[in-house]
Amino acid sequence: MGTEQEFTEYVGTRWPRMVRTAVLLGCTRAEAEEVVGTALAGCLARWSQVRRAEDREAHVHRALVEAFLAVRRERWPGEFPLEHPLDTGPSLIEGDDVAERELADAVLRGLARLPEHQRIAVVLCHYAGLDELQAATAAGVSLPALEDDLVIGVEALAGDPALAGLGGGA
Amino acid sequence: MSLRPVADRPAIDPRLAALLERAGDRVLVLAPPVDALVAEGRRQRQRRRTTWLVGAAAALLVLLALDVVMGSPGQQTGSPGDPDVAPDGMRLVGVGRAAIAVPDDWGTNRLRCGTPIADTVVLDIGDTPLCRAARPRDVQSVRVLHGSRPVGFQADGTVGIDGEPAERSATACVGGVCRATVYVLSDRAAFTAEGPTREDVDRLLGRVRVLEHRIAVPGYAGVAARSRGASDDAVYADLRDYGLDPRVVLREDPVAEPGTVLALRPAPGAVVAPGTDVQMVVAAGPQAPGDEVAIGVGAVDPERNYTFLSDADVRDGASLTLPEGSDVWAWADGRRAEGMVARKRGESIVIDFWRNGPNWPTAWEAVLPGRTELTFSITVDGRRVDLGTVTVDIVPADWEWSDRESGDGDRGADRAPPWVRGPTPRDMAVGGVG
Repeated sequence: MGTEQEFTEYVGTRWPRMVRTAVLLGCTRAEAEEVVGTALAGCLARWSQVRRAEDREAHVHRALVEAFLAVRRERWPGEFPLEHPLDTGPSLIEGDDVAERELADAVLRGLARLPEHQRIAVVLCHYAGLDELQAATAAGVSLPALEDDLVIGVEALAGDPALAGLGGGA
Repeated sequence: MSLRPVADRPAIDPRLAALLERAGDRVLVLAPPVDALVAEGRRQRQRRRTTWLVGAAAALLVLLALDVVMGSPGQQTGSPGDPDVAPDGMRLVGVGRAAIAVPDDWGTNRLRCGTPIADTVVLDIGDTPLCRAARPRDVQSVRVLHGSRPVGFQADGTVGIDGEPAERSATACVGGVCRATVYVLSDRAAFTAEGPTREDVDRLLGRVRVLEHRIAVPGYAGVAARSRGASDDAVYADLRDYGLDPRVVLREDPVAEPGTVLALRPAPGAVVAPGTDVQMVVAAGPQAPGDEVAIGVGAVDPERNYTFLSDADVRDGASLTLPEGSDVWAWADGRRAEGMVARKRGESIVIDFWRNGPNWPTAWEAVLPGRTELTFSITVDGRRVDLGTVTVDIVPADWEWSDRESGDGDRGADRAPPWVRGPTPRDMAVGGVG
């Protein structure tokens, strides 16, 4: 399988969850698509390394986290063109179910209250589907540091009164 | 790499995962802009190639110019477009895939008490002896560290190196030494460049690269210095993570905890092919009373040039040649350190009666030309166990070293100068090391 074909298949399966991961990390939807696009384009440029990487998911998510941090530090590493205009409207959360929208809004606000490193740990482990070692690699921290961030972040969410009444809350 | 067992890791909370899943599901995601991504990836790849081609063209022009000037056929070592190949006249050192090119004529760990005293790359140093050492004005150096960000490092920006994200501190100049650090996140590799000017530092750090098909052996001495020991399990797993093939060799060591990694071969910093065998020399624990103590000997001449002998040097019967006025001292580590005594045969050095000194009573002053032998021993069950003998030749202060030294600075006693007398029968034992 050629590099670009393999990459295309990879993007097709991972794109939605990676964009949502970026949103949970704190991006607007427009930022999330740019962050994920930057990360994936960088990965394609070095696809041989991604292919060789023992843990491809950790490798790709490391690029995602770095692109996210670059946005947060207002040091934008690069841009890439989109085929369609981005939706930069005020509504990040879709759907007509008011309860679900309120839940999503509360979760995003709860995550936003966490320090950045704790939020990264929680989202990578609880949403992106990485295990702790993969998440530590992606976050660029040691495993014990990641575990500490994870424990404290989960405890903070569990104690967040705004999330307390939500179904299946943390 | 983790030193914590799996059982200690926090479990994923399924309720929180479900909550995030529901929140994520509410985010509308459009179809991925695959064509745009592929185009951007191609553009980045092309940009990297172009950069290297420009460099290659420049190098080729330089080589052609040299051909014209020197009348010799130009030689190009490797492909300038290949990050795995060092530029001509340079070598690569690093950690994992992160590497830096340094001039071939730079040494490795040319340090005195941790301070570079000549152009050097600094690799895998752990604890360093404390003493004041001046850094020559024009010395340039690159320190390569493996692990978390160096103490005091503050990222002032994010840069891309061959497509890999890295953090860089701003160049700061203090006391005539400029310094900056690049930290390559993917390989937990820090490169700290030091030099007399900002331009020197920027030029040095401009040589950091990410290798495509090669791996630099990571070092663990820095890790050990901070965490008091790099265990074989953690190092073994980490080496495998880097794509190397670790093999364990046990060695008795009087000081290190059993399981501590004492050395790696090839040495840390060396650039090798993925899958290369890396020999881990691991402390097997003491086997005999004599293995439970490690001796060190230090010396400093009147011009403040330091010399240190390791435990292995002492046990191999090393020698020192020093000018009058020098100071010599010995110390010991390990379970039996307090039982170590030194027996002196000869009169060219005398005990230093600075009783409050850190090494009293195993500290001496060189007072006369001549030879003295220092034999170090411990007592086990009432019997003396000799550990090693160091021969100390004292020469006149105005002696020309160039008449005697060999090319590699060997100051061996096998070619003693004519005024050196043999040891006297006097056999003087001095007390233990506190």
